[in-house]
Amino acid sequence: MWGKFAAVIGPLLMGSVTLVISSRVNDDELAARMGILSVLVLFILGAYVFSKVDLSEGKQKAKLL
Amino acid sequence: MKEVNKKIYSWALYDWANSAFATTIMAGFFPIFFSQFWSSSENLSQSTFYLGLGNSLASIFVALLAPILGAIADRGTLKKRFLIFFAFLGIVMSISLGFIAQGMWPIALIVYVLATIGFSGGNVFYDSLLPAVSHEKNIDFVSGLGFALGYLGGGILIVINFLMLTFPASFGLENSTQAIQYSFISVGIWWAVFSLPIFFFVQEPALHEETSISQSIKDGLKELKNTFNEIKNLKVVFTFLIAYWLYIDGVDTVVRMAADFGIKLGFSQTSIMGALVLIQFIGFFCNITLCQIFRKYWHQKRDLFRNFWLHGYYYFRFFSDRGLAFLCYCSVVGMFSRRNSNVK
Repeated sequence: MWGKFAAVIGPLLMGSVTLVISSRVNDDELAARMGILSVLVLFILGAYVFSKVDLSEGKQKAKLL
Repeated sequence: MKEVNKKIYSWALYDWANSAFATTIMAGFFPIFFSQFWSSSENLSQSTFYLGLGNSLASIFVALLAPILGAIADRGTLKKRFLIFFAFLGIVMSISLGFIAQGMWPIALIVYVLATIGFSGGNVFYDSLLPAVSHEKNIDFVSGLGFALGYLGGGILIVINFLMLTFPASFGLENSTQAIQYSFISVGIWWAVFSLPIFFFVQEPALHEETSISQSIKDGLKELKNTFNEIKNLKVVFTFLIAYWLYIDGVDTVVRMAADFGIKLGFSQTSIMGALVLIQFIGFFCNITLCQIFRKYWHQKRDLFRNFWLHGYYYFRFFSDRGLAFLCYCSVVGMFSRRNSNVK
């Protein structure tokens, strides 16, 4: 079921944020929380880009294809 | 007719076979074991970083390989041989995970990356064999069958693995560490056994013209370039694909990293695996009930709704660390999770 798509940016982003935070605050749990929170950036960016998609234009073009 | 059914079920069983890797290893035992057995317990955040690195590397590798593999899959006559090659890679690497000694995190990570490449590469050729076992009228049914069997197959093995972890003695195992090692091996065996039907009963589809590998790669890359140029002109499609990729990248990151996060918050191995079992089965039942209802009445709004829940789940996960709450939002995720369909 899971994981049939690909996670290119997310895991490295989460891992890097976790590592950087833990080196600053020396609290692995907080670092882990910040790490998973950073993945939210992908959802926000995705939602933003999606809001730029013109659905009616897409429907028209899809008909032409 | 019987012959046709045999082909269809043989094809769909591969999903049953390899989904065990995604559920038991990718989402569950690999992140758990990587953090608690192969990495040193002193530096938790470092193990999260390396787990993330490994997952991203595997994805980048597959993304670079995909156009070439896709080209071979579309044009060549080597679909089955490539499927067998990648499946074999995944199977051997999954079993190998059961034999890697404590503290050897670099080897574990390399083996995991190779197993993931075997899993993803195999899927390219598995998907490309769909037209060989179906026709226009039943392609949705066949694809859906694979999808349902994938859920069930992955689900059944993860339940067995969960029981092995919780009651090792009943399985003749010494402790939970041994249970996890045998679980890795069980995934490899499961994957191998249930791949046999597709290897034996699904024939390579005949092509009108024979082409060599190098020619099919060349043709495929040319086609990819054409597709890319076409998409550039269709700005709306391009934008949508970028949005989809960002979103799915985030979703899959959660799938692969959530167990690690659970460990870092101090959840036990059994509660994390229990949560995965719950997600798997809620996902299965909601897919055949709830999503059908949504599909009928909500149509476009459904995706919006799903996004909403996923975001909710995020906040919840961030602020809460109670076991019960964990299970609750796992249920919510299970309800709205949906795997990609094989039909493109």
